[in-house]
Amino acid sequence: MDLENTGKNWEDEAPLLAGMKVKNPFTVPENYFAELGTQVNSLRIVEDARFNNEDEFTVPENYFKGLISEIETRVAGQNIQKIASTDGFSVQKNYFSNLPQIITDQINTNNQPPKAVVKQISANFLKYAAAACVTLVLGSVIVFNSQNKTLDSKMDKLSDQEIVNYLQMNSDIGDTPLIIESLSLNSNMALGDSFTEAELEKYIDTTL
Amino acid sequence: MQTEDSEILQKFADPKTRSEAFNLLLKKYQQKIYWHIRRLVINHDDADDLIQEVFIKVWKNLADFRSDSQLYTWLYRIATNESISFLNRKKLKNNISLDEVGYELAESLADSTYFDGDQAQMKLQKALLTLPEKQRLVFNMKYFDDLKYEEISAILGTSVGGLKASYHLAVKKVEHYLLNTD
Repeated sequence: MDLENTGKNWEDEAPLLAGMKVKNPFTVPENYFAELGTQVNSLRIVEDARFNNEDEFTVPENYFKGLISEIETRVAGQNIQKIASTDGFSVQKNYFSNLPQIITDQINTNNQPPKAVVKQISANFLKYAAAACVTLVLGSVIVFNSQNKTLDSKMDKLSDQEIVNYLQMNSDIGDTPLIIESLSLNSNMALGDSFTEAELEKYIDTTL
Repeated sequence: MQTEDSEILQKFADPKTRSEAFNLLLKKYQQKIYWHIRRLVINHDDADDLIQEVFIKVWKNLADFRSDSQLYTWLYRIATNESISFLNRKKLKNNISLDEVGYELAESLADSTYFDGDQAQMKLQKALLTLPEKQRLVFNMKYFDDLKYEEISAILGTSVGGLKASYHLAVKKVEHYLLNTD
């Protein structure tokens, strides 16, 4: 490119632009330039006053030192906010509109008198209880049976005379019908050949 | 009749006539500087804010101005730097690229109250907003302000050769846009 001639021949290279009338298309408000001088002068007076008074103002000690770190902190905070404007957590819809009611309900519930606590009995506990019951019943039966056996064996060991003595000492007249009834029920019971029925009746009548 | 820059600077050096000198400077350059800013930032309100900031800077720093350069090139430089800083702030604030800034500006152009150009001029402005920042700057100063390359070079601190190349590229891109875009 011939730089020396660039300014002269641009019309040849841009005929459309060259054909346009050079006109400033911009306008300004009415009387703008007439008032501009006044505006600038007013500003100038304010600026002069500002500069003249600048030394009258003071700042706290180390103000500008602290100011830098404060500005840096705020800039850093804004940068973080730009990167992550929210904390990312969210709640379900209408959570906050319902929350006061939920809290109020809970407070009301806590203020009521305590109810009797009904504990749920667990299935395991029931199993152990049932097992204990069965063991107890079986134990009782076994103990009872063993006691009966013991009683029978003790009775076997007693002599007839000892039984007769016991009965003489401890029976009364009211026992007679019971004994007779018992005899009649156990008529097949072997009493031995030494006693006849008449002897037994006589014995009972005289003894009891 | 406009006051000479040398007279403005002389009056500014004297504290008694400093305000008078500043008002003379304002009257002489406010419109040129405004339009330079406006073509860069498009929106009138933004341009209004920026021109006020520019002249406040001028007020604060004019005492240090070295008369080895032209006063208006110094003013243009401040205005250019302020405008580019504004566009960069806008880019950062909206977290968008400079190309997207151009797109946003083109959108605001269509809605602008203070734009009375026809369709061709609207198209030209939109074409300019597709250009890289430097090329748009050079095009505006050459095409609309009719500044010489030497003057633009003094404002932007770029070589005349580089400016010519930038302008040439800008013209070709604008022509291509005008021809190929509805």
